[in-house]
Amino acid sequence: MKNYLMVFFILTWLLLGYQESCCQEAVNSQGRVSVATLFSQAKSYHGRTVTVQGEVIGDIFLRKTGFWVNLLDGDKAVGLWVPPELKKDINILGSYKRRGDIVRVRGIFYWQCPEHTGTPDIHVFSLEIILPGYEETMYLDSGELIPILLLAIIGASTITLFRLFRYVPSANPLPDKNNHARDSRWTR
Amino acid sequence: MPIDHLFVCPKPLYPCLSLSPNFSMIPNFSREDASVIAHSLGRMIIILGFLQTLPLTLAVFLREWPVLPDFLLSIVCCLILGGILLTIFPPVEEINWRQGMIVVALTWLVAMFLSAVPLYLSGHFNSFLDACFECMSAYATTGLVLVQDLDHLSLAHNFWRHLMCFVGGQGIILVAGIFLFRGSGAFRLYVGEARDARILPNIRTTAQFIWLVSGTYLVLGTLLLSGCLVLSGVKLPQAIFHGVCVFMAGWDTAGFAPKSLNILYYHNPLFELLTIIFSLLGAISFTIHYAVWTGHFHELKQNYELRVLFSSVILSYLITLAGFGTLSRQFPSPLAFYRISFYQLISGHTGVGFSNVPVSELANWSELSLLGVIFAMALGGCTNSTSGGIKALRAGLFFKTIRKEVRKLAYPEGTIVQERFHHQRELLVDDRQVRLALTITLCYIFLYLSGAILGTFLGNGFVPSLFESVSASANVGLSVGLTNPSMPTILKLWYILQMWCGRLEFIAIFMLGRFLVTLGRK
Repeated sequence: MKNYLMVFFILTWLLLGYQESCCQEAVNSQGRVSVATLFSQAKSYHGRTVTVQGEVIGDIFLRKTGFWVNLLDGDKAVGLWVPPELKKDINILGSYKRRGDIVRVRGIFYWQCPEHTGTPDIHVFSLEIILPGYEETMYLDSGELIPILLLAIIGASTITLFRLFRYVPSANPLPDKNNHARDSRWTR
Repeated sequence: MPIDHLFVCPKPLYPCLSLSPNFSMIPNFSREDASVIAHSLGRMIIILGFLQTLPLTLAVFLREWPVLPDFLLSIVCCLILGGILLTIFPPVEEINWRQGMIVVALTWLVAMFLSAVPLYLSGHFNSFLDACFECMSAYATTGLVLVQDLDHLSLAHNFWRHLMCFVGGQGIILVAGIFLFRGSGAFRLYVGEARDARILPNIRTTAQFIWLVSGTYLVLGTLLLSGCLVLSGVKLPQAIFHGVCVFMAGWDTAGFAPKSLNILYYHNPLFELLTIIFSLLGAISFTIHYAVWTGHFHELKQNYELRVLFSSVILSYLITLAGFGTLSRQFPSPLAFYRISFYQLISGHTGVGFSNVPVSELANWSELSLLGVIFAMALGGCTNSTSGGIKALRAGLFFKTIRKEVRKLAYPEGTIVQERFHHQRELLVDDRQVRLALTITLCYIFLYLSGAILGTFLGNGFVPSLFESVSASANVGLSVGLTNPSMPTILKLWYILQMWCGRLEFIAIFMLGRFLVTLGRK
């Protein structure tokens, strides 16, 4: 019995150690983990405290006891459940016209959140701005319009020429032996 | 496609395709046919150009200046190409069945290429092929995406993605053709787009009714979805934008969303519930909508197709639940389990393709659960709705036929056995309807399997490959992760073909094939 217990504990330790090593591989030197890794190893990270970094994007969705904001890390995004007192730390949210604040957050990752009916999220307890967001400069490059204008002129000219010199079939289907020109005509 | 049209139309739906010995006697396509087709195509391209003025206007309104050249170039291309076709090829009074089918098939293909121009120029796509994939996915109301960094895409481009869903779901022809083509020519184009509901005696009034229903729900849906977001503290213009986009993608069972997290972005169960309701409404036949609008509520109870749809929802959900087995205990609560599993299933069954979990979550489901969703996706919604797949009425006809055959065997020889069902009115199951339904069903099954085999050949598992293939062919849009910008080009091309065939329900594509093969032959 003792031996069985020993084997069981060793196996459990090895399994947990393996799981730990899997998780640690994805954690970088700053102790942070990517969102892609969180999702790909969701079961391993479920319920654990993690540090993620990325751009806050889109909108803030207010709730009674906190708010939702989404964080984009590479091409993957994750929902952050943030306490209301941290709202003042977020200034700019990413969109087409803005690059959002790059933040580093620490919180508990839930693959199936018990508080929010099963969706994956991170319950944040600390948020730090790494790089403030900024507005993108939006201007119309007039140089891009010139080829379009040229294309429009060429196109309009081509259509006009086609319309001027198009072939119009005769209404009379029978050929006239004496005058072939009457079978059909070119406008002009 | 058009099965219920057979119940109201005394003539075969596709006279040119009747499976009689005369099939080989179908005349080859002539240059005159090509001329008629080219002229009609020109009209459609012009309309497509005008359609792009909507996102262009939005870009001006929102001061998204860098976006303007993208749409201007595309509009100019459409107007020139359409103008040249209209000028070179003479106008026609009316187009016939064969020509109508080819116009529809070609319109969808050309619309894909021309609509991809502004998307490609946005810089959010790896290649022009990826932009084409996105456009076909939008027009066919599939919802598979290859866009990159969607969260930083301009609102004008994003609106264009969703507008394509709306136009494709309603039918490009319904949007443009009905107002350009007169008489029975319009009906031929309408049927070519896999629609055939003669809700009202006239095709123009039918189209107007469909637009009335869609317009009313658009206003209602936008109000409800935007209201949901405004209550969460989102600014009104943003809320309206999200409301309009999500409604268009939900009602037309497309599954696009303005953000990369799809519906999970909103973290709002009420919002999810509304998307389920609108996608279910989108998956219901317009003939049923008409019955309800005119006060015939008993149709909801009696309609056979609706019964089949809800039975298949229950059956496929049971399969999915069985697949979860003990895995369901991992969910923190029963509510959480139902929220996740039922949402994906309804999303698959209606063909909407919205998702409230990350893509990697579906990949973690057991194979049996995935098969439940595959079954739901393969079957799809109702005929004459905005959803794809085999359709509930065809599945219902199949079961009625089995029942009829069993009853024939049970009764004494010579007994005439008939099966009835209610679809607008009491109808008899006849062999011609069943043959057509089974033909289309078989085509779908071949299409599903072809993508699955190709996906497996390229090194993916069979079940994920089948899932993705069915999702593309049935115009659903759920993904287990196979669809991504780095997927093989051959698979992208094949999925485009699957989405195109699945949306138009084969006949128009077959006609286009015949047209290309026989053009110019004597």
